[in-house]
Amino acid sequence: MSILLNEQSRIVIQGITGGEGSFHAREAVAFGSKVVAGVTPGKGGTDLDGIPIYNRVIDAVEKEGANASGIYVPASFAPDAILEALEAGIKLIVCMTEGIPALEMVKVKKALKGTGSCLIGPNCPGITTPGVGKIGFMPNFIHKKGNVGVISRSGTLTYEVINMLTNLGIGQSTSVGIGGDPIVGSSFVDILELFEADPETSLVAIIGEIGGNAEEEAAEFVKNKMSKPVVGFIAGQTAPPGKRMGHAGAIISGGKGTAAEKMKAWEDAGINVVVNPADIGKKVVSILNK
Amino acid sequence: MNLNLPMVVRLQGTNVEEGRKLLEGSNLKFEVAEGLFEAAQKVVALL
Repeated sequence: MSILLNEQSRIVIQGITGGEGSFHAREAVAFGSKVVAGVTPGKGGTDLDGIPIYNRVIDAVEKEGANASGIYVPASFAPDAILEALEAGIKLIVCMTEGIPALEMVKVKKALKGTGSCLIGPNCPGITTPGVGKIGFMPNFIHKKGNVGVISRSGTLTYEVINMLTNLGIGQSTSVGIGGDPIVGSSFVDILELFEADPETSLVAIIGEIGGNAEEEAAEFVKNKMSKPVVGFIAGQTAPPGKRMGHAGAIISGGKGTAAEKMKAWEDAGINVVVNPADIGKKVVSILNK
Repeated sequence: MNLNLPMVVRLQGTNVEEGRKLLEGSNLKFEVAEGLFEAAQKVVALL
């Protein structure tokens, strides 16, 4: 069974009546995802293409058996949306929203502890498991079912890599965008652990970027705990120190978190590092053909 | 739109076909690249 999303996943979309929520709910359905409900406070009793809409997540859980959630609400409401999903007992919560204040995420992380629920994001493109479904906004047409796991802090680079792999005839087991914020629900290590244990994954492609120490932690994990081959790319090789590069978390601070350091840490851990993102696909092919 | 600067377009994503048609019908002058690396090479060549 695939990681995170599987045949038993019943998805509720929080913010389903908004522009992003309704568009991506429809895209998810077109991809084959089991979207069983939507939630928008005040819009309970209506529906989107026959998908019932409720006022509260707990109603979607009790009436439709929802156990996974995709959150498409503005940043000022997103922390509460995550907490509501958590309190309703949702096991997989995926938050696409960008711009949640770090302090709010500290509170959310504290609330998540010990609950057994998994948060992906925020500020992420979500999860896609070809043949099962998706939560998030990765384009539908790029995926192909297969055995490469993809993990990334960057949205766009996630689908670049997926598209590249698919064009080379290589499918993916699951693709996960963990998000570009300084504080995210699940780290590289959390997802690497899942891929290492997943019988459907034979290789992992990981895309890191400057800032923070998620890549260094991933290096430690790959070195000590991972048996499967890993191909890696670090974005931001030309980024100047002190400048925030697109993502809130992508900043070289106090001289720490440069691409060069991270690439070195990955190489030392045995990760197959490529310098040019266009080479990720070719590298994966060369390792799979060994 | 008055476009004087040279531009390289590399378009991918949801509804990419519709997007390409809009660009083709825009009468704007730009170079189209398929991949990231090719796009970078085209930008460099234009400088």
